[in-house]
Amino acid sequence: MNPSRDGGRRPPRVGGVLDADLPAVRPAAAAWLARGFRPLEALFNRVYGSRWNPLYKSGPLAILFLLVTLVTGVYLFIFYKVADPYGSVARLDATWLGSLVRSLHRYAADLAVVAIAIHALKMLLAGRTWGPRSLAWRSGLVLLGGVLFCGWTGLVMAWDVQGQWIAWEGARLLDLLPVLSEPISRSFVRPGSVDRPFFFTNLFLHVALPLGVAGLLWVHASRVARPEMLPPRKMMVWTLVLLGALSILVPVPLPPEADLLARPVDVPLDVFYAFWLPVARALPAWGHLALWVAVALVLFSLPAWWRPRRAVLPASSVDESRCTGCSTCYEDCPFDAIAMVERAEPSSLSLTVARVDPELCVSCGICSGSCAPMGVGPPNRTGREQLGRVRDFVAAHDDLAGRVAVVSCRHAFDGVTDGALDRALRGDDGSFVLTSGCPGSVHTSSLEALLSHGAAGVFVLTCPPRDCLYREGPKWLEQRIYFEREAELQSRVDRRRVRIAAFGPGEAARAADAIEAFERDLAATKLEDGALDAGAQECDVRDAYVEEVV
Amino acid sequence: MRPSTVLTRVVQAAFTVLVLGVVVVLGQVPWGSSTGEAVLRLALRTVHGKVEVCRERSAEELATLPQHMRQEEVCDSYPVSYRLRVELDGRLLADETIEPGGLRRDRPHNVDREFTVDSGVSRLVVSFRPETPDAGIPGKEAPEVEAELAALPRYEMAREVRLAPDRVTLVYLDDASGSLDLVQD
Repeated sequence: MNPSRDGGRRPPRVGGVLDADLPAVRPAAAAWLARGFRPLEALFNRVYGSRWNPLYKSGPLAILFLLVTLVTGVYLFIFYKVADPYGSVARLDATWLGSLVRSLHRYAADLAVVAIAIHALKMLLAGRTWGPRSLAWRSGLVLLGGVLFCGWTGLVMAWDVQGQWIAWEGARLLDLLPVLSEPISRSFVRPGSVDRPFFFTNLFLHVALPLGVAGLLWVHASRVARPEMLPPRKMMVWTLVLLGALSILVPVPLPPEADLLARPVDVPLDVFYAFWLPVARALPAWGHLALWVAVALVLFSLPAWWRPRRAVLPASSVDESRCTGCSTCYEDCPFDAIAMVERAEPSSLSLTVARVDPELCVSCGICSGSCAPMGVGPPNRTGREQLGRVRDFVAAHDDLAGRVAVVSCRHAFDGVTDGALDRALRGDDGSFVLTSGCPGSVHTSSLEALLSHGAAGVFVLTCPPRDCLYREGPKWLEQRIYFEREAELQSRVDRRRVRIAAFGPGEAARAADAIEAFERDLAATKLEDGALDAGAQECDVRDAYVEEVV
Repeated sequence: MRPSTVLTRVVQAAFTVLVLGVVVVLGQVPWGSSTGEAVLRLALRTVHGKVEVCRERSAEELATLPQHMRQEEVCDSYPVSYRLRVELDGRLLADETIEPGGLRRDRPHNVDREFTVDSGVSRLVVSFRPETPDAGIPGKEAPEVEAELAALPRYEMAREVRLAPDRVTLVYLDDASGSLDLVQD
């Protein structure tokens, strides 16, 4: 029965909170700006589906593109001559393979900047730039600077009309710094004045900087557990195929050779790297330098002021009297914020106990979901407290029996607003919706409690796993439901009554359809009221899930 | 394959081509257009920008110094500014003081200027000459300073030049040439 489609009156929906009312994780401005980005994200979701949305893999894709530039760069390096930069590139470009490799190199470099920019923008809009994530933000900016500088030296290497302007305007900036005894921009004023040592230095920088970029990548990913350095294999293969096809079908043309006695007329500008050239030509050198300094200051200081004004989420803590030293929370923490240490006081429970580093904890609550004895989690959000809320909820809603309870990540659909969730559930016949901070923080006992108190099924609505605000929430919940990861959903629970599905912006209608389909499936299986015994069904449901999702 | 799946694949392919097309286009956006104007560029450098004031050390002064540092004459250098003046067809393009480079003003004078001008044949007058310091030079009388400045090289150019549209005409000076050179196509 779908009241919104048959013209009937839509019944009121019942909402609740599973793991406490949480303050915002990002500044209000970020939420406002995110609304502008959401249509693009939704468009990509509609076309590719959230599972294959490249916007959600911008970081690993950037690394993939940089690896392509590294591999193709080795080939180009063999043929490059500092004594004849343009000539050597032109000769290489005249061959089919040379043109292909050069195009691959250039397109991959361009796409790396696009991927990095999207990655940074997503982090900015999601509020993932402050607190323990400041290091990743700042090291990411340095990485971006390194990649851009690599690109500039690469474009200068070819010594075409674009390279000459990058070299000259870059030199003018450097001349403003009172560290060089002679202005280097003087090297670019007359034909024949650019000599071999310049191209050798430029080549050295172009080759050496990627090593620094690799080192910085390590710093960038050092604050997270299990950093994802490459996209999933299928996405990686398709990306490389598309990159190859693009390079074959639309090879990058080689612009005319540098002409130091020409004004810039129809210079083919690579906007991804040389976006600043028109600004540089329009401004005096000091104004151009001031602009760069201002942008850098704003971006580097961002973690200090781009954060919620209200009190931030408190870090997790461990109830040592319940900790069994199983180390699951230590393994599941996506931010390496938990360590296993020896107990101060001897205990029959274990030799070691979990300890949370509040400097690293982002208060995602994933440890709450990982702890079978419910001894760890942020204040007021442990498994035990979730269970208490479920009990209060079912006590207040005796009409839950026979209906579906939807447990939704409050960040789903880049939501943070219930309005987005409303849209997702449009047409739903009055589901009971409980929001959680992150699906990874949902304790499986809470799901079981909803079922044991009469709900016909529990539908867990998550963000796309590749876009999880806390990186691994949906992944861990999946494993706890279907793969017996510690703190697992008990085997007595019929898996047919639990479903987990991920949807991003633009997929609200699909989310609503999925909930309806779940309701239909529940009706078709004719489960006995209150039956929790899964028996042989568990394996079948898990296999079906693996086939469909994993 | 179901029709809906085929349609999805077609939409995905078309969208991917569109996105990659945007990347290709943004990778080579034409920048700058022909305005028919010419550029007059000045790139000047000279090391002759200082006046030295020398004096003899007294015997007492020398006696206080270690053996290996007893140089009888010591000289202090004072930077001298140059005056740059550029005229094109009688129109003044630049008239400014050029200080020596470096934080201590002990590096060569460098000029890097560009002027966008009308193309065509024009009369160009450039002068780059030492400037008398307003405050004088300690330890030297005014006539002495004038004499010192007169000994420094001064550079002049006055000639007809053909300024080609969208091209750069370069007035170049370095100490190897010792004179203002005109560099053109």
